[in-house]
Amino acid sequence: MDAKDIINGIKADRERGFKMLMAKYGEPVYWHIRRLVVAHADAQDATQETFIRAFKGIGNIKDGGKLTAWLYCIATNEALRVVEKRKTEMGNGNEACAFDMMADSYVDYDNMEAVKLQRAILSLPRKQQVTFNLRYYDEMDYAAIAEVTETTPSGAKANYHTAKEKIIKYMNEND
Amino acid sequence: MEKRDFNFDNIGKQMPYRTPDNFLSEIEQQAWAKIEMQGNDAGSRRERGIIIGIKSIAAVAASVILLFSLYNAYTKQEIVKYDDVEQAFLSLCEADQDFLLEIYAHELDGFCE
Repeated sequence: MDAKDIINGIKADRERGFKMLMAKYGEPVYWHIRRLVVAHADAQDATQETFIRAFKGIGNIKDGGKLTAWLYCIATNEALRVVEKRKTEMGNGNEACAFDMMADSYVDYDNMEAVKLQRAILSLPRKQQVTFNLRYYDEMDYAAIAEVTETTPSGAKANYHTAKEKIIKYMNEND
Repeated sequence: MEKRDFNFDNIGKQMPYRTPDNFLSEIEQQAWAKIEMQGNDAGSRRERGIIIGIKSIAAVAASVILLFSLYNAYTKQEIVKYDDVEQAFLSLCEADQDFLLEIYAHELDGFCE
């Protein structure tokens, strides 16, 4: 099932098309958002909003090949909107806010190495955070990452490598 | 203290995040319910808009017709006014005509003083 099938599916039968969209992108988009917002409830809300917005706007997509990047772009914006909202509510700095969010009941503290890696990622500037996640977890190519993060493919590549170096440094220095 | 050398290969894509059961179908159902609700709202908003539009057009048309009718009635009345008065005056008996003329003259005198 590719993007064109989903777009045509929505045109033919709205509900069936929506189910197709969710079947293909629901889980990866949720996880992309979850890595940015941390708390499950926030991720759930942002994922819902992402798919509502995507469903409303999908008819405007001319090139089906751009669907993935477009969807991730919406998801990233929704996730960052939630993060900003939480930051304002908590009145905290960026990093402190991220650590507060790690107190979510759906975070497993048995795997401390994984917790630390997420903290390292959350300590990065936003663009590097998004770039790293899209490349490392979603294995997205740099051209698509560039579309999501509104940069050039070489800029996305540079962001990824900078992010990776910073994470290694964080992991080695914070025990 | 021994210096660590972090390697991504050791951790891979492990994440410390858990999710409730069936969270994805819950997201799908809730999102679809919102889409349907917003779609219905948009539909009823459209219907309300159409009704308001029709009512506005009808109100404007009624106003134009009313103005046109009033204008016609007024101008028509102006044309026949003096004839009607003259006709009415001539149909009075002589004594009534004299009486009215007397009042009229008296009124004029009062006005000019």
